[in-house]
Amino acid sequence: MRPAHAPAARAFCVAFLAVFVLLGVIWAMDRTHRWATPRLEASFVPVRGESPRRATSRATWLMPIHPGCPSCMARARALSGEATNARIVFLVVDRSQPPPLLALSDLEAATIWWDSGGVWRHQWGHRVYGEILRFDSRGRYEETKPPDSAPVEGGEGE
Amino acid sequence: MNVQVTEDTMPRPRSYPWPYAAWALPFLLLYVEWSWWDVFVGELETNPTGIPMPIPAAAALAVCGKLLAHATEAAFYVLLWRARGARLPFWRFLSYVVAVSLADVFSFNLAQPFQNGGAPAWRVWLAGLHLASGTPFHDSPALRNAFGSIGLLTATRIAMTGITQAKGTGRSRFEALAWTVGVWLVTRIAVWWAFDLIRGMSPLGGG
Repeated sequence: MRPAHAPAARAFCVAFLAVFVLLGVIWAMDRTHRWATPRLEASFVPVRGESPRRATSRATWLMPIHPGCPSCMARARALSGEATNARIVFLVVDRSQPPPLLALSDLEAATIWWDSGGVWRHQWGHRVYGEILRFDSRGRYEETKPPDSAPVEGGEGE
Repeated sequence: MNVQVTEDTMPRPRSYPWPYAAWALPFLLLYVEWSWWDVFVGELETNPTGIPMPIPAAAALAVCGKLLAHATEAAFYVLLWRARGARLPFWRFLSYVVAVSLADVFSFNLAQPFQNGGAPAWRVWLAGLHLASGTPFHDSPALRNAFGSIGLLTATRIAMTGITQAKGTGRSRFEALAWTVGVWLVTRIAVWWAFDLIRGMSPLGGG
């Protein structure tokens, strides 16, 4: 006689429902969490170029990147070649060790910082590489542009 | 009296034919998979992902993923009906799931030229509300991915999936359709939540 499968199938359905409910709880907690407003943290470690502690009179565009992400590195290369008056800073995120300079060598004439404390992900709640966080000349956060938006539109970054 | 439900005691469907004649089945399934491959090539050409492999190979990989998703869907419904004391033959149902996915292929092809808006009303009704301008789907990529495909073709696919299950299990069409709509709703909500969790506070474009 074949074994009874109905109880196992029922257990599967209950597990499916439990995973769905768990996902909903995690989603609700994530959406209601009070994330910090992005700012130019002094805790970012300078890898190349200006220090985050140094004052600037220009607007800052901050792009989170990860050397292991080919599409966001390609976008970073494209941004580093853009003509803009804003200071472009690449922020290496999600790395517990300092980033290898060789992987960042084709980002010409750019300032690179390392988010050693995981501020971008764990305090700001951001999770998509290649987005552009814009700060005004006083370092105040303005907005975040999604990765697939045009980085330069009509004279911004003044 | 308690009767343990086993595969032997589960009611078997009276008649649950394959969707096509046996000789035609491989050709038709190949046609469906080729249609999906074509859709993925178009998607990858329009929206490059940066994946370091040729587009035809990436599309072939995506087709394998799609087939796996169809098998998972079929297995899910087989288990769901088994939990409810009915038997649904896996391979036959899978062949129906693959066949009715042509409705999605048709929907993708209708939507493809209008990714940036301007779709005529008949395409919106058929291929999904994500093509309509001025809807919440444009502001929220998560919502768009979850529910943007709502349209007549999606409704047809859901209805066909439900009716096929009713035929396969011998249960009523109402019951089968209710479960299919319920499962569709649950999975779309899960997609919505998953998208939000993946992006966090980062905005996503494409709206």
